[in-house]
Amino acid sequence: MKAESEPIADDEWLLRRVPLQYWDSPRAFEPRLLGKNVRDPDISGISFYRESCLTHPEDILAPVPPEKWGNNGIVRIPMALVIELGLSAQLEPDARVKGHVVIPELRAEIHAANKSHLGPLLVILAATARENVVRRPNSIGTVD
Amino acid sequence: MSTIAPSARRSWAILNPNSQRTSSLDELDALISEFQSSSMIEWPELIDELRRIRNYRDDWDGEGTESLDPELVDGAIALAQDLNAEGIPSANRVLAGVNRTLYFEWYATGGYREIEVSTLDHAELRIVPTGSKVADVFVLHRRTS
Repeated sequence: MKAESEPIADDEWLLRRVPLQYWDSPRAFEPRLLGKNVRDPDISGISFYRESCLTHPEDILAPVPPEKWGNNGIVRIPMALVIELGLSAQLEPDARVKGHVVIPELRAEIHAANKSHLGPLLVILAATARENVVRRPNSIGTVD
Repeated sequence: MSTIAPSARRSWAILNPNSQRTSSLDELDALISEFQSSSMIEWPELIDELRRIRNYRDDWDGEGTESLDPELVDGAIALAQDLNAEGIPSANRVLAGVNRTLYFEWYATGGYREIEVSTLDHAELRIVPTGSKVADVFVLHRRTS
């Protein structure tokens, strides 16, 4: 297991939690703007977690209340694809889960102003996620 | 970017942003049918889903997202009705996004299309061929008066 302070290698995998309502949709990668009650706006970029820093992929459900874990799936995206798409990942330690990174090019204010440019990237991320499911939301299917 | 605006019969139309002229939604048929999506859901079911979304309250997704503007949802319902009336293939899905907008999504092997309704009178159709990093964008405008 890697220390989260280690640089991100090109061959790593990044995990993302996907709520049921956005499962299998590019919306799973859409940055969330700041709202009056929004809990985790994507101010610095959408969140991922480095699989190599975690004991188990489901560790990334820690920020979610346990009674809502079943409403969340987990997908994995290769860092190599992130680079290929012209994106990057920056370390942004989160006390709740190790290995937290953000993709600064996919932060809310930039996405809102560049949907025609960034939209296709969300489509590619969603297609890749579809092929790399770690855990489905319970109401869709059982854990893979 | 092209723009699509309202026809005489429909409330929504394609708007050309350069000329500000509008054309009928039926021009979307070729664009949306191009990839031969085969949705198992019909427009009336999608409209029912929109009516359900209209009743969302704040924090409907458990992430703190605010409810949608009912007028925006009504605009999306009008758009769905117009698309249905024009014989446009039904979307595979309609859903509320994370930023208080609505999306119609079409999935097919050849590509992906979405219409994002962002206000009661403005929407955008984005077409992304499979693997493409570029979207073709068309603006839709709704006549509200």
